[in-house]
Amino acid sequence: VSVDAITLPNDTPAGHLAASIQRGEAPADRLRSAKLGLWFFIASESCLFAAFIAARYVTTGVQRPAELDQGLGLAITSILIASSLTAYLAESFARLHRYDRAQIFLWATVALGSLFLAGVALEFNEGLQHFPPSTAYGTAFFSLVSLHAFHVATGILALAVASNLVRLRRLETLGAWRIEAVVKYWHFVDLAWVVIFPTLYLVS
Amino acid sequence: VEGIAEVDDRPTASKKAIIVGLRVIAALAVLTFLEYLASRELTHATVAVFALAIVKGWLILDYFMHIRNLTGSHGYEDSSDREDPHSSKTPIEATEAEL
Repeated sequence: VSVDAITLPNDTPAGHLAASIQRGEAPADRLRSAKLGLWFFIASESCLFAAFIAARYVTTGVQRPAELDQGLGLAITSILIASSLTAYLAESFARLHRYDRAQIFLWATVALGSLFLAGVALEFNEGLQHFPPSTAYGTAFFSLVSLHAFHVATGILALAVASNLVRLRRLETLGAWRIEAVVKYWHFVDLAWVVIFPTLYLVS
Repeated sequence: VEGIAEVDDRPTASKKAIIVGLRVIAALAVLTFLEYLASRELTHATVAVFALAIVKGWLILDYFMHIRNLTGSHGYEDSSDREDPHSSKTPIEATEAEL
């Protein structure tokens, strides 16, 4: 079944929106719907992270292995927090139509995100020696950090795409929204780590 | 008079954005370090670290993700709805005017 074959009644809000999109009208409505959709997506992703975090407490309580490297955890957390600043500045400059500066901060965010992933790889290497995935804590640690690392990787990809759109000057129709959407997702990834960091490294 | 109205206010706005961002990031850094200290110094650190984590989470949601803009007069409103920073019209108003 192709998407074109689906018809929605025009007297419903969804049908009205679909018809206006097909006619190429009402970009403001589309923008508002896209923003609301992004928040729904973030809410659903939050539920996924909440399930993994709950599993950590159910299986191991607040226990953590003595070999866990809290210093490395603090270092990668600092990197991710710093990336939030660069992402925020990219969004701010895009809103002011200063796309050259926005592009610089987008790439800075990509660099910091990649550095974070490198730190996670180091942590995995240490973790495999002290608390392998076959242990209860290892299961919680590797599943939660892997889930988060996957989100960081997709965030990096999205930031790179957004930066490329800036370079190609393809922001005429929706303006800064494309950058704002990617940056919001990046802040969500940061927010998830704000809960994951104490859950895995700090509680006792 | 029109010339005065068209003065570029973007440098001021850029500076404001940078200051807000730096303040929030400084607060996040301090709170993260306090979490780390609490974990090392307190025997039962769970409540303390989560109290600090909640404050950090709110800072990100409020200042970086602009969650308060979800409750606008149109159900969803955002300052970024203004495509042109020099225009007093939102894209919604601009579209209505065009139609």
